[in-house]
Amino acid sequence: MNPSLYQRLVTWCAGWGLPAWFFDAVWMVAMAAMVTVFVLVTVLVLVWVERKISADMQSRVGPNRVGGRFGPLQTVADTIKLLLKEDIFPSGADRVVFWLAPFVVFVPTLMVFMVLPFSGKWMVADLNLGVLFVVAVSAFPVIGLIMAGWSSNNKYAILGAMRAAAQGLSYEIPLVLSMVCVVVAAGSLRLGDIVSAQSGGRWFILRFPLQLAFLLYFITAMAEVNRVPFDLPEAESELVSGYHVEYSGMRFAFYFLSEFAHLFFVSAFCATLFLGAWEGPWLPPAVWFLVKSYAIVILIMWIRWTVPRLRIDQVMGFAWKLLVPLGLIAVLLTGLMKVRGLG
Amino acid sequence: MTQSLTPTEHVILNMGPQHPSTHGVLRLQLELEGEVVVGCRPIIGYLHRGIEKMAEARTYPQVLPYTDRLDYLSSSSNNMAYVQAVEKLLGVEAPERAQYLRVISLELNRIASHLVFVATFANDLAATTVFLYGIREREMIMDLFEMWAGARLTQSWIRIGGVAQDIPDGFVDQAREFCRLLPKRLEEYDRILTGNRIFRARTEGVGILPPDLGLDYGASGPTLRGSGVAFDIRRSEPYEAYPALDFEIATQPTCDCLGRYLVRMEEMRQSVRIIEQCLDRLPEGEVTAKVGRTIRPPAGEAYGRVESPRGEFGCYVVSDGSPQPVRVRFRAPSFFHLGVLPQMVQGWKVGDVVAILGSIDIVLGEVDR
Amino acid sequence: MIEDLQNQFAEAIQSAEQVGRELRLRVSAPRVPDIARFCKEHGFTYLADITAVDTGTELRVVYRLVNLENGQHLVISVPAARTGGRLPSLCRVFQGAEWPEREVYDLFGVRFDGHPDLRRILLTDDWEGHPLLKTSKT
Repeated sequence: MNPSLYQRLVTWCAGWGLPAWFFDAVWMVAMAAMVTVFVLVTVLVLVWVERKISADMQSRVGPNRVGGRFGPLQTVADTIKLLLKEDIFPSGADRVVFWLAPFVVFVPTLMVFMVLPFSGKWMVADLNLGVLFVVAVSAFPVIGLIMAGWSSNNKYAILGAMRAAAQGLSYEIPLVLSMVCVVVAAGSLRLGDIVSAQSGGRWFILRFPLQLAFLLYFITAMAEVNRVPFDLPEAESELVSGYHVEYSGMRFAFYFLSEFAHLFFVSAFCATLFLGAWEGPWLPPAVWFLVKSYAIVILIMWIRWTVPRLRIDQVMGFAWKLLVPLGLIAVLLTGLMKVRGLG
Repeated sequence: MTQSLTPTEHVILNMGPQHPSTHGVLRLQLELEGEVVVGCRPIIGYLHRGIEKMAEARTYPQVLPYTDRLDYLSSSSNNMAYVQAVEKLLGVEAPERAQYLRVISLELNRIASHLVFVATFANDLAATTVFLYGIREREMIMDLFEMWAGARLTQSWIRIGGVAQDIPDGFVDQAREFCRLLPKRLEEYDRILTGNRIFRARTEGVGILPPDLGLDYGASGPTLRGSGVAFDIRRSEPYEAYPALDFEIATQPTCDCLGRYLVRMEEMRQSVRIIEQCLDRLPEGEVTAKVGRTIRPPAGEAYGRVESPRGEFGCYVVSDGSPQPVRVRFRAPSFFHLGVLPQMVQGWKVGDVVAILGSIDIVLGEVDR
Repeated sequence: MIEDLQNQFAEAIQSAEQVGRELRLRVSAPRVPDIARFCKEHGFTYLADITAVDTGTELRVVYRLVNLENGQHLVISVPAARTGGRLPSLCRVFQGAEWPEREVYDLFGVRFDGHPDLRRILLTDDWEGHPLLKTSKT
């Protein structure tokens, strides 16, 4: 944030006899709280959006009671219900791992929100290694899924966990390759630089060959978030909830929350990488950022409610036989374009 | 099969009896090697209500409502098989108007049942939206049933000697409206499901049922017609008004889940054709024959056989001249289809089990009775 | 075909009657699989049903085979003892006999020799008795 403001706040704190690091600590906690609140509110909104969109596509109405005619507070009511549920612990389950798994899924999902550029000035941390940070931290939730599946002492959960591992690993590679294209085009891992490289309406999605990277990113993002057609780890009609079948109440709420938070994140990240983040005429930048993120979210939801689900070996085949080669081609093309000075 | 160097164990996984995709209380004990099914043992009886035993202590008309609850997704077929057997014993034939009305009932039930099939099949494969579309179409049929029988699902409208009562005013128009709408909706399903690459990848070539294996196991209906065998009781042993009606038997040569799905889609279109012909030709007259207050068929036995949406639904009635039957046996197609399921899922993956089970379209009510 | 059948298995066939499309035979137990195999080879490839009837005076197992080409039904009735009744299994002739024979065992108590897996199918494994017999009261 603004250096002179920072100096003034530190001096003000010193006036109270508090050292500079105290202010830093408070500031960090405040940032974390803000991010958490933002994520929670976003999830609340997203769940409502999903229910209303799916209802519309299915000739239904969706939530229409809680909080007025459009039921906006439905998710709040559902969350309260989940919190009040009995905390069931399956017999034979590994206590420590079972307890730990939701955190391993949730915390990294929250962490990556730090690098999102909501606007030019609103960014918690514009890390030099922004993209790398995202890739590294996004890999953690998969471990959490595996922990959840294994510790539940339930065959359905284990099947879900194995599928999550296979799918998560396989789709990591084309995902990273698509991000590499953007990094090459922008010349930096820093998200601030990636956004500046798209300034003036020259969004990456409009520049060949990054359309391929966009497509790749979009597909692999759906796989990373376990959305249909890639929702095998959950696969409700086969595995009755898969890896989180034994979780109930608040613990289940953690997974649910993480899934939607991660969904928003990949959409927002997509908007950052390919759609110019907060760039846009006459609306405030943060609003543009949200609009673009939500556009991608709605696109993902649209697909989720339309197509059936693939089988695990088809999912793997798709990743390794099609997406990885495409990713490599995309990187090659982007490199060529960059060297030629075009795009 | 490649030889694995790492020693692996077979895992026994229970699918059911509570499971979103077993279409009822069915337990499938799967023996898995990783995701591949190496053995499958269906365990049934969770819905056994002793209907056949109860029937022996009831009079013939009293048995009729029990038949609705067998294949509850198409209750008319069950009624029809039972009534056919009893009418054979009595030597009674329903009047012509009743015969046409019965055919309309049977075909509407066929469409309703196939709509549930498409809906649940799609839902099992995670195309949830199609589930709701199928149910939405079925609501129109439920409205028609409610008009004439007072009940949406278990109608008991086909009675010994004819039908319970005549159709009300406005029924013909509403039925025609439905017949006009359904083909367009079926086109929607084709666009969203049949042509979808993912759907085809999940169903094409999956769950092969060779035709002679099917015959050996007594498979019938769309399950067998999806393997290329053109066996349809409405053609081979026509009953009611079917001899006078013009329709095609749908078959597919591919023997896979997609074939069975396509057969049912086509059957819905043919059913619309049949219903329209019946509505056009509906003769005037009585809707029930004189059968007397107590039904007391002469001693003997008879087998009533009907092409239900699932296949050959048969009812074997043995009478000794008293008002109560000696034996009522319901030959349920789903029972026999479950018998051949283990061979159909052998070697496929867990996800395929769901698809294959969905494609044979069983109803536990008739399996367990 | 019926003449060939009667010639070949004369000692086993107790009676034969044509009622509509049904050819009803009463057959004694030991030759049932051979008769079934003979019929299967002569066009009766579809096993429609295997069930049993307890009329109070007699318990008989009823097999129904259908010839899909000409629509003929073959209904074979085989008398069985009420307690300890045993019949040879049809599983080697029609694979699909496995489940209906289990049901007949479950509800009527008739055992099928040579059946690969004869156990109850509709009732629980520890059920006592065979409910569909007339001697068994609801």
